[in-house]
Amino acid sequence: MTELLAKWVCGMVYWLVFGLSSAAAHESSTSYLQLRVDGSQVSGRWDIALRDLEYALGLDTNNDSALTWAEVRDQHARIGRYALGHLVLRADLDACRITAGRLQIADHGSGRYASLELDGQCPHEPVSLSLDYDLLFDIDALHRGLLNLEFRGSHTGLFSPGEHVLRFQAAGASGWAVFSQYFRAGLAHVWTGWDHMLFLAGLFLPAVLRRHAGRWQPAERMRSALADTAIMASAFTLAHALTLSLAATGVFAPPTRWVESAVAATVLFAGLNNLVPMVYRGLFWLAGAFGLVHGAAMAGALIELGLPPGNRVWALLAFNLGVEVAQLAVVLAVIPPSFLFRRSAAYRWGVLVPGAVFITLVGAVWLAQRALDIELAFMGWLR
Amino acid sequence: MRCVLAPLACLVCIAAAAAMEPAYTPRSDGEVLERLTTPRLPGMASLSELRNQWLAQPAHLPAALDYARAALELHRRDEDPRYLGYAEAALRPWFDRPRPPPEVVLMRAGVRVARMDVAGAEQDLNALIESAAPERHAARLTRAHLRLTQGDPAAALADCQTVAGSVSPLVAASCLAGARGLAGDSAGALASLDQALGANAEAPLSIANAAFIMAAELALRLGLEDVARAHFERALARMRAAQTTDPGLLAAYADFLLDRSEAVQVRALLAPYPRHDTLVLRLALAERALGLAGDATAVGAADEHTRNLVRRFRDMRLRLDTTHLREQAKLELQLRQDPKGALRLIQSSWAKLREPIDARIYLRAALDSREPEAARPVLDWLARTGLQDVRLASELAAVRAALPR
Repeated sequence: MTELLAKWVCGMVYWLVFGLSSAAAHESSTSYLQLRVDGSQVSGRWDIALRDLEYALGLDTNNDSALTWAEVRDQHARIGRYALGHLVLRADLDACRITAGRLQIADHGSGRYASLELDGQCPHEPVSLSLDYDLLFDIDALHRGLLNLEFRGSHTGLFSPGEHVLRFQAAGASGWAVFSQYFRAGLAHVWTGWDHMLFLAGLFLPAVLRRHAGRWQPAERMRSALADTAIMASAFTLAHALTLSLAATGVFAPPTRWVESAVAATVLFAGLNNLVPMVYRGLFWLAGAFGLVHGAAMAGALIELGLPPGNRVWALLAFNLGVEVAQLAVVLAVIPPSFLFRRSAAYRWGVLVPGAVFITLVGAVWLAQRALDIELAFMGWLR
Repeated sequence: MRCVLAPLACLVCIAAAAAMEPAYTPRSDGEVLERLTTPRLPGMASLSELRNQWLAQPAHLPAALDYARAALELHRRDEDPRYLGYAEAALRPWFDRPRPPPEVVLMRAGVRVARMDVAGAEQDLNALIESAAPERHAARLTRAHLRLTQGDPAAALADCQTVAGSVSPLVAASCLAGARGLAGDSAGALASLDQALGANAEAPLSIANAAFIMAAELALRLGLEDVARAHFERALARMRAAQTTDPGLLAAYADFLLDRSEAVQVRALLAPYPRHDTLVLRLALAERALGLAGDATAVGAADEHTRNLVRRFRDMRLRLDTTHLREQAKLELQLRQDPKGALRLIQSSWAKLREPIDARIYLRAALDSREPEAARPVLDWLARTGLQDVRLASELAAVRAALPR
């Protein structure tokens, strides 16, 4: 063992020392992806080195160390499945369907490549296009994908393990398309963002039933419950529209960790406020302050999506409106039923108190996770 | 790093627009598209066996280390960057930890050295050197050689002297000879290295051949061509007897033969290695020389090899890979007659690689571009190190003559 180790150390040292100036001897693993997106139609070609496919899939079925055309062609379907399993093309939020067509061979200076024709269809004409590429990264960290894209103009890109998602925005999308896609993105962001939903639920619960002077006091009238809620929602909305727009246009860039921690703190507070009321008057101001925090957090999603050149204001407005409508929907779903059942003990002890406890706990765990950067295994699903 | 990459990134837009190679359907089912090698090293399990063991338990460090070690060893032999990528992929989970185990840090340093991430490599090596891990000696030795390739003989010498007692005598002698030679004492360095080579005839192939190459390089700096040739030939004989490949040796020997106008020998030497870019470059130079001497088939071969290299370097640039700058500068200077292009490339490379071969390309490119002033960094470096090299003499004289007094 020691002898082997010593031998290896010699080799290793030699490698370290003399590997330096000649790393360029061969070409690294590279795939060439050419895509054309025309309306909602996708077409293109993807060239992947046979050597890489052999390493990933084992194409040499008769194990004679010679890869023939028949061996490659017979595994057309496998190659297509493997490749397309490592590429996701999205038109805005929706995945496009891509299929592998004809298989041919291409030469790229360093060995032969399988050349797959690609055909596809997006659910709609994309305003923004995103590509998520993770071919071979799991087995070759130096693999790179070179992209040539035609999407209302020519674009190029480089996929690497550190940068495997590329987004393209091109001027020329219709105003209506921009509006509807960004509106949808706003809706989706609230409805799939647990932290915003829990915060809203926690904030709006006291509108129908609040703890006061040691007792639960139901709201007298539906109108006042809705009005209270609407005022809070408006304050929240105006505030977060402000920070969202400022952050998304790059006017200010609050550190993500602080923003995310602050969001968690608002969730914790909203939950706790139902159990041990700290604030029940002037919720208006509180909602406004919290709105500033949530707006900054939501901007992250919009920054990731990007703003289409030429349509920035339109996209920002649509996203804000989407967020708004999603929140109103939450309010409308929560308030009327809770108003109806506000006097029932079953609602109080079966829904409200456990709900508030749940929100408080989740808020506390998030705060710990985000502020202290600790990982709690059992909370993985809450990310 | 950024400033090197920024102009490259601009080139990306232009070059990437180049059309894809046409795709075709092979003529027959039996056409062999790719010859696969079964990567195997003497005394080690095959790469695929080690890979399967790693895939079966990717979170198990010993399995990942065995696989990565074999991949790095294969990279040493074949200089194929895919092996670097395999090793990195296997060790990735440990790379990302705040405190990876020392053997992982050493491998990461090696990967970074090979990718010319000098700052990253130094950081890993420094951390190991300051630790009590057994890897600290290998780390110091690596840092010594990194400093040699960066043209800093004083810092290299300090590391070589510190580590000399902890490594085998021939490794220590090579390290010290490299540093002393770069500092101007090539004659003394060669004498002591020859002595060490005589006393350690049984050293493992890789170590002995590294010493032979170093000795030949020292002899060439002194103008002792016959001595250099003898060292190259001995190393080559050992390489062939072991049925292995040493691209570094082949490239150095080919450069020597090309300087001596022995193009026929270069063609015979390098023809078996069509996939090593460094060797294809030398092969193309030999073919071009043969073409100029009237060999019509050599002209076509030189052109095809040059086209392939241009394409490969273009793709590397698109990948933001900077490991090929020296070779590309040599190509532009000697095969494509574009000294200005060569000068820009070698200037970018000079920040990380400062060996006599780089100085030679740099001086020639500056002269041929009629920009002798651009060669100042080389003159300063020569003054700083004290390096003496007869191969630089004529270029140096020309540059000095062209510069204002």
